[in-house]
Amino acid sequence: MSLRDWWHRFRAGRADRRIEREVDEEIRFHLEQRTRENVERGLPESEAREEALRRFGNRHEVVTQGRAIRGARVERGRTLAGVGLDLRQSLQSLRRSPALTAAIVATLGLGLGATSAIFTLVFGVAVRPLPYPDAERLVWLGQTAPGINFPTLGLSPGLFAAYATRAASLEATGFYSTRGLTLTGAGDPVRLSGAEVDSGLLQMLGATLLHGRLLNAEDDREGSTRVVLLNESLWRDRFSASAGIVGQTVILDGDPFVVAGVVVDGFKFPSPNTRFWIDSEFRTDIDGFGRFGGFDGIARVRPEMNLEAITEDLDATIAWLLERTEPAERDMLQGAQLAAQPVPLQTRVVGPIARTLWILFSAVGFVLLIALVNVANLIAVRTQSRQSEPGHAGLRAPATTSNPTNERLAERRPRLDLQQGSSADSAVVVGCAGRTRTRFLVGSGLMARSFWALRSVDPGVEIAGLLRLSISLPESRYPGTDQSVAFHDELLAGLRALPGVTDVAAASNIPLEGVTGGIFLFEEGVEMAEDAMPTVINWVRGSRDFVQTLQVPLLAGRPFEDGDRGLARAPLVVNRALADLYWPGAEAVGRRVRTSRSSEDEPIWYEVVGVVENYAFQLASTGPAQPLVIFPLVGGDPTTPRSLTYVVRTDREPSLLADAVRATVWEMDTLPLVGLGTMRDVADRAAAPMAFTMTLLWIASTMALTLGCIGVYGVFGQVVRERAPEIGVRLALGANGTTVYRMLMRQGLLVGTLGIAAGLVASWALVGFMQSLLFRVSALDPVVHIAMAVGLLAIVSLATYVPARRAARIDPIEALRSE
Amino acid sequence: MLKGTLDMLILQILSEAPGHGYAIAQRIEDLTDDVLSVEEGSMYPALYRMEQREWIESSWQRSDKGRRARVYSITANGRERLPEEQRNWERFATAVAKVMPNSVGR
Repeated sequence: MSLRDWWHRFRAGRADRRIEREVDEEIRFHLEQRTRENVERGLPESEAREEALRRFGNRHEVVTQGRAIRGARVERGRTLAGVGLDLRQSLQSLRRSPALTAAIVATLGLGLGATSAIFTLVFGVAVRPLPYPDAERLVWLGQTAPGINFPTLGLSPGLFAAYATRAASLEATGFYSTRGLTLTGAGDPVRLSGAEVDSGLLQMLGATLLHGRLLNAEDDREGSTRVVLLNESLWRDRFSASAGIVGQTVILDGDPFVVAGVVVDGFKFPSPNTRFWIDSEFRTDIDGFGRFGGFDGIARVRPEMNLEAITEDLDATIAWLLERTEPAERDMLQGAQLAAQPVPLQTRVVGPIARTLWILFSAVGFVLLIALVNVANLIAVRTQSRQSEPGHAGLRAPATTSNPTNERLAERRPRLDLQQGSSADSAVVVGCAGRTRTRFLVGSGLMARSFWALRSVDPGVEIAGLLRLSISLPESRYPGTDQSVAFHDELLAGLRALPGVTDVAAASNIPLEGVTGGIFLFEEGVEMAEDAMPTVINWVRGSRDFVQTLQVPLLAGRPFEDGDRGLARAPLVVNRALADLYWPGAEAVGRRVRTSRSSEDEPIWYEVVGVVENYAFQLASTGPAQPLVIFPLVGGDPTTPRSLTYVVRTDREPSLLADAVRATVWEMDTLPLVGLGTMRDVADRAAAPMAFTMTLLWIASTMALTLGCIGVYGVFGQVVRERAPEIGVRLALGANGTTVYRMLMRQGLLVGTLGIAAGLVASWALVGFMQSLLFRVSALDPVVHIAMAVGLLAIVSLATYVPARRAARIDPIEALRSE
Repeated sequence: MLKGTLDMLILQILSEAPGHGYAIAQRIEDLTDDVLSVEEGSMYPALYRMEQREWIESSWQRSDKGRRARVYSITANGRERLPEEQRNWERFATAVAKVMPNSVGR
């Protein structure tokens, strides 16, 4: 807006005020003249004045019309001036009641602030497309296998190859597998997250290079020189941002990789902490069809394809591949009911959190709605109080406005509301607000319960007094599993010798940190039905003192012992869920089983030596306990992992032990220690996402409650004011204050109860949404619902109490006079 | 008061001599023997409207005792307008008289 426009608006406003002053002066002159004449005719002063006023008629109307007629001369900038004047008028009336203004500003501020804060989050996470070219056409090539109870499955190399070459719906494809490797020879050894990728992936995702080149088809070929792309941060931190890095060799897990290029930090695929991409060594021929697990692929689909068409195309590819698969594997895959289930990449990446955010966003939107209803109520109450104050609404000349219609709107709309604003309407308002609030409170109550359940969940192990750390042995220095086991044995002994340490164990995955893999178990002498699919059994590998150190309750048999070394005796410890699955009601100890790794013809038998209580694989895992088998940590078995997690039990504060533990490891080998910390930290980290959601919900519900409280108070205050004459009559006719107070409280609580009841119904409607956010708590949890309803009722009572109390003290005379 | 009548009366009065609002009101009273006395306030919007149409004009004058008063006077346009207003009124009055044969009429 130019300075000139401002000037015109300013002039227009001034002109309006001048006109009003002049009309007013003219009227005063007229009245004075008439009064004087009346006095001259012998009337007393006051009567003379009254007669003059009476004869003159509606002074207000004359001023209004005068302003309208004479003001019409000021054509330019008039509308804007009108807006400015309305604004000024509003500001004046706000200034007159600072408490109300503060309440309104706070109410709207809270509502708008929360809405925009959440929207920023929602936009950043859920709305903004992923930073890849044609991101909306990218899908994650997921599979489903309901036959073996795998709702979501990644890719196998063979299936990827088939998709990439045969599926017409896919325009471009990329294959990857996340990898953790240890970088040595560039400062302290460090464990890095990265990915093994094919050449298509980075090209498809449009990775931007600072130096060097992306991968190409030559890199994909088996037996080619291994190459690596470094991420910008890694390049800066470890290689001094040297431009000459391209073509040099770096050591990852003891193997040499030639640096092909440096990728900018903005590129974060597959995860935000990916630091490198190495070329792939996948055998993507048909033999790799059944090797699911650990592999993922994404594709850019052709523009005109929808998800169903793509799924159909991919399913056709699976069928094609099945025909060419050897019968045993084909039967297995058909039994698993393998089917394609592509998922838009955006959904895959941000899906779960996005849903939470959308729920929160709508929740906060409701808060804003409550805020607006409250403001309307507060203004209505305000107008009511203004009307009842003599000399306010009636006689005072209204503030300047250029336009009679505006003026009428500004002055009268609240009044119109009031005329219709019967207690019935107010009740509706209170009811609506009550409903929304109930829903919120129930929501956050449920979250709180979940969080509590999560914090107090029995993970099946004793978390307190445990320190954990992970160590990964580089293949270059520990080529065979015997060397690895020797290292681990020595380290276990070294750690056990530390002062304050009571037990030490190592495992491929410790409780709360997942399992290592899934296998099938076959019991000796039990023939499986031809078409039956065995249940997938989770497995981990644990050292001798695994059970004691984690204090998993032993239900039958014994834990591992010193003599359990070597494959000769091959003992197993299983959890209760597995024992119940295989041998319900019968003794599990002593049974012999083989795994799917050894064939029927050359079986390797394991013997169940102990049964332990179920423990949690993931802190936030829901549903029944899954079967688990714990293999002993032995040499000679090629599946012995080179990465192990150590748990150290101490009778002291575990974090104080960290330095001694680090020194012990580094005495043997300077290896990176990954995630050195207490088990309590692990548990807290697992609870973090829920804590975040819960905090947001708490904020939303606290706000809703505060605003709701203001709202109920405002509306009920209005009802009481409106009914002051009626209450006056009641009091005059002999009702006492207590009766009036009781009557009002009863009515307030009735409306409040209706609102809360409606809110409970509405919150049940949200069950589906909430359930996915909850942990071991039903979205229909009666405790939460009842507690919240009672709490809300208490608050409604409080908000009703003050106006009801005031009503009981109404002076009947005063109330009737104002009528 | 009938629509248009007030305008005609005001123009008639101002054609005799300029005057402020109160004086005009007084004059209407005098001329009509108080019969047409209306809410005096309603006269002002009529004045403003006619001023807007430039039939009359106004200026602030110091009255006796130094009071400021807005004094209205008829313009050339107003003088031209007066006969037409009178004709309108006569047509109207004649019409009324025809309907009400026993009335005084004019």
